[in-house]
Amino acid sequence: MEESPQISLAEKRRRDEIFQREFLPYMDTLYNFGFHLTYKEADAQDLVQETYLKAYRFINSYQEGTNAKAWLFRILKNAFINEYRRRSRIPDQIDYEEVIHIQDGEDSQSLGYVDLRQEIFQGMMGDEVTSALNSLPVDFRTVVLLCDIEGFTYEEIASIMDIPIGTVRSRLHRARNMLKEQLRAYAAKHGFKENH
Amino acid sequence: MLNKLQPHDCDQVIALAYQALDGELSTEEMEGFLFELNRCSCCFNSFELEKSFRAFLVNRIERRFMPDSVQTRIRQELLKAIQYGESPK
Repeated sequence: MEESPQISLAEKRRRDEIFQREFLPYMDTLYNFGFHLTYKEADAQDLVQETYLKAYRFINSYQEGTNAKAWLFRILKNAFINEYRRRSRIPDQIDYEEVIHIQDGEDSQSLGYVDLRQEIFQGMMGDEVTSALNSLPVDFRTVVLLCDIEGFTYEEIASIMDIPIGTVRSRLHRARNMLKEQLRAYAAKHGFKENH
Repeated sequence: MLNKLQPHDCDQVIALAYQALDGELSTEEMEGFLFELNRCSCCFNSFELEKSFRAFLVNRIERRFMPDSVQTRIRQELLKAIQYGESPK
């Protein structure tokens, strides 16, 4: 719908109120997501600020009282992709999909922890888990963060990531198996034994 | 979809483990899944291990909070931007 360039003061007040009431409370959770995407505090702060500026600019396409959190996460994810593709720090996601597809072979149904036993992973510290997560390609890291840390549904993740639900499911499957593989390799390297 | 009339198939059950933990199975699907899980100690143990791995993961992944001073600064900058500069399209 075409809008007149001038909006009434009352309309501006209404939008400012939505911004403050529905958007600003997610600052910390957006920052955490931005941090796990970039692993740099300053970059995460910039992403949060940019997300909010875009959210305000496009507030007309947000419906009051709907899923503000998913809407904001989608903006942050897009800001991240634009910025980092521009800096050529991450290749296109299609490259990852192809590589992982070849590596995975026919094993995509398993839970992938053949020798990752409870005793092994419970001895690990947060740093080790964070660096294992960090080592995943960003598209795979993102689905784990959105699902396991932020508790989004597959449908919400599909909308945030702009991918079909089937891809969310398969990407989560691969991501979790890759994560377990990283932790298993870490455990082997640092001499964790099953009989501890 | 699992069918109680069919023989137990571990691969089929395990393939649903992530969706079960993610709360993505319907009530009916979940019921079928739990029925199969209780039929097979191998599947049951795998699922228990997966559950504890998930809990471990959620507990150990570091959650970062924005420092208060940064949060205040960004809030002020945003409010200034929407007050004077930015206007919705």
